[in-house]
Amino acid sequence: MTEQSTSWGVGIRARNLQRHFGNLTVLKGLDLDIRAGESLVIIGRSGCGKSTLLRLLAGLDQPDGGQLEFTGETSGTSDHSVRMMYQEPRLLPWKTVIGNVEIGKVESARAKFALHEVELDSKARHWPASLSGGQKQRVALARALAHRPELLLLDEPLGALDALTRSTMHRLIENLWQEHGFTLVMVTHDVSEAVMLADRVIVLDGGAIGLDVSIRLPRPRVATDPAFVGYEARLLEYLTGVPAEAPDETVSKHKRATLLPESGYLAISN
Amino acid sequence: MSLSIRNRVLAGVLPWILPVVLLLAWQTGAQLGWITARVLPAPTDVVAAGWRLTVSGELWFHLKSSFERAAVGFVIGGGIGLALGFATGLSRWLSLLLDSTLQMVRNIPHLALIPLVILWFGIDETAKIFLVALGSVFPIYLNTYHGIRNVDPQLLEMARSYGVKGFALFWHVVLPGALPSILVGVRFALGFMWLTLIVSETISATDGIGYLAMDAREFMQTDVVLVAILLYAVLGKLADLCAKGLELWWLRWHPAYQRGEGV
Ligand SMILES: Nc1ncnc2c1ncn2[C@@H]1O[C@H](COP(=O)(O)OP(=O)(O)O)[C@@H](O)[C@H]1O
Ligand SMILES: [Mg+2]
Repeated sequence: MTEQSTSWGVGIRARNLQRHFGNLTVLKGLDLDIRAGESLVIIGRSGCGKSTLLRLLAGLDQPDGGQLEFTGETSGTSDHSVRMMYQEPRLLPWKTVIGNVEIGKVESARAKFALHEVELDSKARHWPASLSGGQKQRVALARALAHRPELLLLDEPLGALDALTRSTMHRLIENLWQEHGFTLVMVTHDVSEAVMLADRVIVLDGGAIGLDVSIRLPRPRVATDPAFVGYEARLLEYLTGVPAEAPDETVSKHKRATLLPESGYLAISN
Repeated sequence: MSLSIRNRVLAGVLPWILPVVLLLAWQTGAQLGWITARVLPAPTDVVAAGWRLTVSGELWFHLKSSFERAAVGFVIGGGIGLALGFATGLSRWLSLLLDSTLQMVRNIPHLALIPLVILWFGIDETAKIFLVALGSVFPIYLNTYHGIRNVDPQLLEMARSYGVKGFALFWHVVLPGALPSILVGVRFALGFMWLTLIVSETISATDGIGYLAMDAREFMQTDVVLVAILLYAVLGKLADLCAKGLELWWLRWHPAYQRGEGV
């Protein structure tokens, strides 16, 4: 489980969150509690409102209704360090890598350390245009880390990367999350990525939480572990509405039988 | 392999063939008396005239006058264009207030104002500087406005969410984002600057390259007229090279200008 202290991260309590665009209702009364220091992954069909929810959590947009507040030990201070990482790296092309990490009045020593944490020290003086997609996202991650975030929001940050780079990034994000103890909220369309990183996965469906699954697997996780595959199957089944074909019928039955009670998911679909 | 080398040599030589042939034809024609010196003196005579003017110091004197006019006019006009572009680019209200008027005014060719400018300022220095400044305002204004308006909104959102605001936002995000467009404006403005200078110096002046040409015309010194024309060409080219140099330095982060390593 998660061993890191919850003293650094900040929690979130959302009640009856609503968000409309014209007469399109994207979020209709969403309730969500996120523990400080927790790793929460949000999945759901394309266009179901994942980014919309994340932008509300980031304070980039305001909800049209409902309450959203920070909880946890550091919630006394009003100014929380909430940082967002987008699907695009959004690096300033006219600043060097280190210059990008220093954005927003970050001391150069701290920026250097953040760059070291994502293993890109050697690229400090390069222009972003000369980096690969994965390297750019690591710079974006370093930029967020340099601000010592209490809440780190990731919106499909690995969507454009190849499989190998993604799995390296999973380890990196997991390690940094465990070291820093921030609260991690990540959006992905990749079920395997969700099970790899999450303490808890929620599926957004019809403007509210359709499925809420705690992933009780030790870290670091292995994608070939039968229990891991079981969680994946469970999520895929919900998303596609089709019972997942398991490669081995007996394993599958056994897994599903044990998975259901122990994973404690609950459907609060409206 | 050998073919590609031959191709490369050929590619280096080909563009020069026509100018060299034309120059030789011109020289031969002038020497054989097919072209009278009044119409077109031989290239060697033009070079000689240029040398004479250089040695006597006349060339530098006129060059300096023209250069000063161009520089002062450009700095004033460019400065105003830049300031207006920043104002309308950064403030929606100022943009609503000013932009449509400026767009209207820019449709008046500034050289059409010459009679009016002479009425206002007479034919002295102010009139020429005014015209040069006027010619530089709009290319810089338009491209600055356009550049600021087109700064990537995703980068702006990112920077704001990282606590960058006010002047820092302008300096670190808006200005560099608009710079490629502003520099395009600078290059256009430099072109307009020389054109305006030529026209206004030809109309009236007591010094400058335009005066040099007009004075020589009165004494039918076609070779000096040609020297003046060449000087304008060289100065125009130099200004363009300066602008390119600025681009190379300021846009060195840009993939189009990139050689990999940073600062
Ligand atoms: N700024 C906006 N204006 C209008 N519609 C929007 C806006 N942002 C998102 N939407 C709509 O809201 C829905 C949810 O979008 P989004 O949260 O981006 O989905 P996703 O789950 O794929 O991230 C989509 O139908 C999208 O078209
Ligand atoms: Mg999205």
